[in-house]
Amino acid sequence: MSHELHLDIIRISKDGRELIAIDQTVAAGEVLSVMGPSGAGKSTLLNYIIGTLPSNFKATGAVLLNGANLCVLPSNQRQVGILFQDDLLFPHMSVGQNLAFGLSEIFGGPIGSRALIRHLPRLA
Amino acid sequence: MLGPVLAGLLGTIAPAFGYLPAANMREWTVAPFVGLFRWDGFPHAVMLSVTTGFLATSLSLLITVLIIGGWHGTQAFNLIRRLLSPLLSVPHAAAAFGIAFLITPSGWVARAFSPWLTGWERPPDVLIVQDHWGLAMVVGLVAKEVPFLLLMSLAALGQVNAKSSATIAAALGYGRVTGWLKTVFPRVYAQIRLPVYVVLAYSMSTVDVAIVLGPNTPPTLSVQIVKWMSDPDLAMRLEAAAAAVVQLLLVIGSLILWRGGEILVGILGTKWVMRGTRSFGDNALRIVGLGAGVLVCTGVLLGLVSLGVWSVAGLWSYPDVLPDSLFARSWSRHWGNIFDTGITTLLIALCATFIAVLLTLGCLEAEYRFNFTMSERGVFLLYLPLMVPQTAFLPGLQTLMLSTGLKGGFVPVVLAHLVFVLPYVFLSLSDPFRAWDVRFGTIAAALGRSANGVLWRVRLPMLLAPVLTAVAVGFAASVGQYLPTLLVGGGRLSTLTTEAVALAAGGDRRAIGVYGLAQTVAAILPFAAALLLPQIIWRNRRGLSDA
Repeated sequence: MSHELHLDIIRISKDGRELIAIDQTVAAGEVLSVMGPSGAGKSTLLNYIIGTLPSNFKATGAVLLNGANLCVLPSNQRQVGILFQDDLLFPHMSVGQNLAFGLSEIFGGPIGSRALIRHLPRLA
Repeated sequence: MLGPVLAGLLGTIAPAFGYLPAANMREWTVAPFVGLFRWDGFPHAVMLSVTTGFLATSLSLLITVLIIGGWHGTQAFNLIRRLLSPLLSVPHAAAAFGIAFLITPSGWVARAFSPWLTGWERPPDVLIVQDHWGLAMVVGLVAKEVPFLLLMSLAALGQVNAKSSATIAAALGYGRVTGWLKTVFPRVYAQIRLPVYVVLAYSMSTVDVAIVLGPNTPPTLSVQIVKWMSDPDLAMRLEAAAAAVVQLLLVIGSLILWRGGEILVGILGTKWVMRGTRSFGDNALRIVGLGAGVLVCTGVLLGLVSLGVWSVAGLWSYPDVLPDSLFARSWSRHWGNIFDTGITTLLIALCATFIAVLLTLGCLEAEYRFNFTMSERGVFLLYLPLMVPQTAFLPGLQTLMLSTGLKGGFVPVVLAHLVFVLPYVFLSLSDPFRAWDVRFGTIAAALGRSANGVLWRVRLPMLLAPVLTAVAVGFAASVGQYLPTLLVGGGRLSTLTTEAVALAAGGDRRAIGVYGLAQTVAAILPFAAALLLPQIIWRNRRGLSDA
């Protein structure tokens, strides 16, 4: 099984006007940069990959991660993370809790901040 | 929402036409209406309802407009904003009592100016409170309705981009108030139209404020309805139902009339805008607005203080401004009953608010997950129980509950309170809930959380302060309810409000002071918690501790 992200002939349009047309493969360890002016549709593409495309957009094409089609999965099962332009740390959690929120899957359950700090060097 | 109101209305319309199986009356006649029209006080009661309703609503709207138009964006305005929530939480009955204590001939205002200004050694024999024309009632209504309309307008201002318009108008040379009136007010009014209708309907059909401040013989129509409903002669129930139908028609007619007035003002206003008058006595209007706002605030606050002073007053002769001695005997005398009724009040409020918050959160989360928003019709239905006079559908609701086997008692009263608590909870919680940044949800989902996980672990904790505020609003709404407890409870449940209003007929000011204060404390405590708890819980979280 190949370790890659394959953006398979993705076409996203709004109000009949095509915004995004992309067909690319990103191998493991590689970085793909999508550049364009404001409103070009960069965030829209990211929304599509994450699974939060607003309903007034029309999209065709598949997002294949290691061969599996992500588009049939809900956002929380796609194993794809996102980092927004603004820092959107959860304000009601401490730093440790913010980290634990994302890492508890790896540890198979909720972990305390102290355990987390002990394990951190191993994750780097 | 529609269900209880419709069922209640049906249960009222039927007896109005003579059909009351419970009293063995099964013929359909118009006799109740005939009896109603023959009642001597009928024309005056009708006139009272209409005039006090329109007067109170127009005055409240005018004061609100002047306050915002003249002072938006200033320091004074921020102060007003902070006072609004506490002012709103004071129950109608307590506010009415407080104002009564201020303005009666033997009240604080008269005492402060006697005898050096007025020369009065004894209270003059002037009927101010419970005056024939209902003016004292209008004062009491305005005192509570201005904060309500202000709060609704502030919410609307946020959505209407008022600041830019005000700046443009100022740059074009418009005076502060005139500019605001011409550029921002029409857009704000479109958003506060439903609250204004609620104010109009409430002013016309209130019972508790009318009992405390309104005329006695003849009373307003709503008070008379309640009197007839409690009459041992069951035939009087038919007349009460007929009167309730008339009340409903009056409210509907007045709403239509007000809508016509809106259109008229719209036409005249457009002409005024086109003329381009830059200034319209702006400075005078600003001062009037500020004066009125201050008057409203101090009126309610001083009223509460006077309740407090009376509750601990020993001998207090006229025209002294302060009592000769203070003692706690009034409190200790009533404490037992206050404790019991207080527990009942709080329990009812707790249950009703809890259910209301659950329903609201469920609806709002469903909006988020299934990607729709409540339609305008939905919002109208939400406001409906607040616009239909309580006297018009509560008796029917009570009959309905009786016929399904729910005898008077705790559960029916909680359900009845729920009908009136839910709109306020929804109004309070919906904007903050919807304004939450959904990108947090996206991040949480990308990190593997299910939709429920996002709700309980991210969204709700972040919305702790708005949720607590909505709980406080619901609590205050429930504590202040009078008719639902009285009618649906079948007289078996006493809350602080029913006890307080029952004291209005007597002259025991110390008892009224005690109950009025107790009622107010019960309503205000949740607001204090809503302010303090987030500060405590989020003390180590920079992002939330200054919310």
